[in-house]
Amino acid sequence: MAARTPNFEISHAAFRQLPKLVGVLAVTLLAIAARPASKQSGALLKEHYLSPIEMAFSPAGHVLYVVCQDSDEVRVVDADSAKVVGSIHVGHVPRGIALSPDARRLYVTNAWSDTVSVIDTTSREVVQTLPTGFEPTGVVADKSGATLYVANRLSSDISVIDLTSGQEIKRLLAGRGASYLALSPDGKWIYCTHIYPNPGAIRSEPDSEITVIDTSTRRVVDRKPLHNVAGLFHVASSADGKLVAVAQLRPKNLIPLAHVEHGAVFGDSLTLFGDDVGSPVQIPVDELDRYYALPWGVAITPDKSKIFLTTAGSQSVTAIDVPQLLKTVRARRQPFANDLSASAEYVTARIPVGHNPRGLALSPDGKRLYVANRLDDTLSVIDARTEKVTSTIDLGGPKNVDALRRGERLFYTADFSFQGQFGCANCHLDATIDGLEWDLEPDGFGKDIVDNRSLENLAGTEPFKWNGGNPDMPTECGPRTEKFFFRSQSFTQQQLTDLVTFVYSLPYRPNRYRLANGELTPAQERGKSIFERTATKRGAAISEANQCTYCHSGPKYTNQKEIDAGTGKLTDRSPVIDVPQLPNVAYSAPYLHDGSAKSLEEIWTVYNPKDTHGVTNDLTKDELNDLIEYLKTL
Amino acid sequence: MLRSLLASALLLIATGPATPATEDTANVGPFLYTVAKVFEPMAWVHGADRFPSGAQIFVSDDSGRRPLVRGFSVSADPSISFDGEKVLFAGKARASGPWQIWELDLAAGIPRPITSGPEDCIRPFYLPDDRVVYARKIAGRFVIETKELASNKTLDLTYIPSNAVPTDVLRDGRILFESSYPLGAEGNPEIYTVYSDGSGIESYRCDHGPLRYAAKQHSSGDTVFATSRGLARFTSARAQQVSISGPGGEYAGDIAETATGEWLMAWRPDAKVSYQLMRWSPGADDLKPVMVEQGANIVEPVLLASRPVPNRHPSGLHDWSNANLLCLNAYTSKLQIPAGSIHSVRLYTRDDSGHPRLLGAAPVERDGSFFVQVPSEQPLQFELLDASGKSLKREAGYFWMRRGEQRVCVGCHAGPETAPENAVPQILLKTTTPADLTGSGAASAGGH
Repeated sequence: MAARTPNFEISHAAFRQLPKLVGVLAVTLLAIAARPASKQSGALLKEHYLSPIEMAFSPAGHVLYVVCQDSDEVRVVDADSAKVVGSIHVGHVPRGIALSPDARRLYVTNAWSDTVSVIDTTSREVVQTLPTGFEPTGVVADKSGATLYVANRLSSDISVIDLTSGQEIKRLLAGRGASYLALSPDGKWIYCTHIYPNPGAIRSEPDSEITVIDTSTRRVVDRKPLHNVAGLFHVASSADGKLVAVAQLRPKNLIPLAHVEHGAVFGDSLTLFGDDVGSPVQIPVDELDRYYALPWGVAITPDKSKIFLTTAGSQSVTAIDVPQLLKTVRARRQPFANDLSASAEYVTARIPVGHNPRGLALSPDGKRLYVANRLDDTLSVIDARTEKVTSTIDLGGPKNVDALRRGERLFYTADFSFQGQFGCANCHLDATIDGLEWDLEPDGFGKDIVDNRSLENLAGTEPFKWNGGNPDMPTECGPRTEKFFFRSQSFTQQQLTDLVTFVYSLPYRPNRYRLANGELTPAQERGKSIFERTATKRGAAISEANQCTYCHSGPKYTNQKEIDAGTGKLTDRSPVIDVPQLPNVAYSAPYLHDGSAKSLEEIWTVYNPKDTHGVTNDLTKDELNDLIEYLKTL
Repeated sequence: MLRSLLASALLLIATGPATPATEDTANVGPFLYTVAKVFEPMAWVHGADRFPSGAQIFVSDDSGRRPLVRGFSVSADPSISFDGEKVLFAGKARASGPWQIWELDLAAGIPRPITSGPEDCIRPFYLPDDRVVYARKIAGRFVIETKELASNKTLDLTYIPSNAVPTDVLRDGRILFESSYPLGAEGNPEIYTVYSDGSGIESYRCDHGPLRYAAKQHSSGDTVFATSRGLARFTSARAQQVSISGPGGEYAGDIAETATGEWLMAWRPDAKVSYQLMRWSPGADDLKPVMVEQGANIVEPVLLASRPVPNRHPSGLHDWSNANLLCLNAYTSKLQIPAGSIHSVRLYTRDDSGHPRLLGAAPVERDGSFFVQVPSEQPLQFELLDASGKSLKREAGYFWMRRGEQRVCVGCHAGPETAPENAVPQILLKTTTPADLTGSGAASAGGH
């Protein structure tokens, strides 16, 4: 059993200061990392941004709590004066927020600390820190206030925490990438969504689920299947509980990406379920010539007249007329998720807001909608009736837009793809992966199916692309992306440099499998011996080129070479592939260049019959488990 | 010089007086327009001249009106550069010569020729990256052509046996053009789009019906055009045209949108009189005259102002002589094809005498998918067959593919509103090599 030890504690003091320009930092590491892109002109400024991502309203609607992901705090906004009136420091990379039923406690998930900060709303101080699973994201308290549920993205489960004792009493198995939660108004059910699809066979349609928990038994009672969906985000229920809406992506990863028009790469949509619609139904929000990328945050007005949806890649909020929507759903007898003209029947407005809008919150009276513009450090305030932005609240972040933030905006926007259909972040969800395999066009239709690779700490892992065809990141993100992904005019040289600077700045997520003292568990030690062995169990020498450490060498466990490990498929033009880096390999399933291995184990038990990808067929199941336990620590 | 002045004088006689009888250009800003004694907006459908009695471009600005260029026998089709500093137009230096494309630097004031040749070139527009697009008549038929201004390198974009004429460049980089429907056959004008490398030809929408022509994209993103029943628009949200409720009469299309949101357009109450330049606030009950002139048409208004540069299309064409087409599911169609009925697909081209010529046949999988290699840059027409070889559906017109183009079709006449369902087409699970329908090799007709 792997150890779960947060050896990544961050000094809280480092985050206590208000996010303002703290000085000009010659970020040498970034400058180095950004090679071989054109260098940023002048010294890189490293601003300390807030990055608001989620919000919660006090019951009376006077106070708005705003989770700021990059400053590790909750900013307290007086909704009446639209002023920031306080700040509460929490753990690292806070991501989710919920109020207790009595509004005396605020729960904030700290994704990179694997904790929940419990905040006293009166004193505005953290009074308790609760441990969770890996990368806690969504959080909700049950109606009694006795139990807290936390969706853990990396461990794909839901922590059930007894708030009286502060103890996690059980973990519920969720779908992959469990992320967002909503409590039904009657308190009976909790709905959980997931940003990654569940593991499936290679080149099969991605399937996701909505996990349903019965709060009376604290058990999973239903898994609503969502076919051809990968990437579920916010889930919200109407006040009467009869309509639940989930923001989601419908990728077209199985179709050769030969062009973009007609929703050929992504469909942006909602899934609806509940008594109003019966079985889950997927409804599109795109148009024929314009797309509303990365549907993310969902809110339903108290009177159930409207649904508001942030489209994080399109810098906008989509307003949907619920009666019209229900009329459409009831009138259509066949699925219509692929009908790009359907949204004309129920979308009433596309409301421009700031960069990368994420969470949204309706005032308790339903009159005002607040939208967190993550990459602007602002909140847009929208009149829910007129569907117009009435004001913008400055949360107090730096005013200077540095290269990293410029690059991050480029990463998340869909503006550069044809008709704004998708951006980098569509496949690299929250700058990670999407768990999918794609059929790209340049190599031919149905050929060279490729798994989506992690972006963590990429410097020193060049070349890129599974065949090693791109020597550096500017090549990877520049003309290749423009011509074969976006199919539209893309980045200027400066924009490309900014984008590459941002991509190279993405750090490793905390590794949860390493012990705090740096030592290995016995299983990990045994796995390390296997990883580094030079002879089989029978004593036969393993050729140097077939030893794990030959290809997976160096600080990032890649020799940066292209090799034939015998993992090629009939549809591959060449069996030679780029040796992937291994750090945090536990998080990036599926595996192999084409994503054919659903798990690390399958790399050897299914796809290494002739010991061409290292010698592993002499290993027992337990020994393979040991090897995997070690790999997880890298 | 004397000859030029004489030509200008003759044109003024032909087009009527330069000073309109009615003029109200307040708040319109500087603009260009074309004056012609006779204007036949759809003459291009038959390869004929829209201005058979001559035409001349005028400038209207704070200092009044004046011809845009002097020394031309005729001039028409003005189009402004993105920075607002240059004008492309079609013109004839001599009345007996062909229309050619010219560029006028407004500051320098001296036009330079962009095209040359024995036949007409009309309807020029700027493209990003210092390219232009226009229609060149080749062997009596208008073909859309692009030209790189720096290198003079040209590229044909259309490969059909019917006339095609550009009308605008969309902000997403596609070229908006008009041709007949069915494409490549005789019929009413319809609106199409094509990328600036000639790939991706398709009908803008598939609600084919009334004739549509002279389309322009407006700041809202809507494409506004003239029809036989008035004005209409395509919106991003809808699969069908949306009628624009406005005053009755005939509209010439090519509507310009002023900075205040008014529309500047050529209109006439009926075909017995000339087009006059009117302004209209969308939704208003009436049109207001901008320029009214007895006996002369005032058409093709174009604002003399800078505007956003459309996106450049990064061509992804491969260095192949042929093209590949993957149909995901032929049953995805507006044509009501019975499930399981399609067995194979035939591909035809069109010979020089106008008759279809069979290029080959290929199997269609149970899921409706097929993958074929086709000859490039010539008319193509598909026909779906059942197991007995009987025709189920056949395209009415033709399309084309550029050399090195790889294209995925959602279905057969699925309509642009239909996005594909995410699934591996069965044909790609059988083979990643397309069936050869280039007419040069053996083709397999066996289906599922």
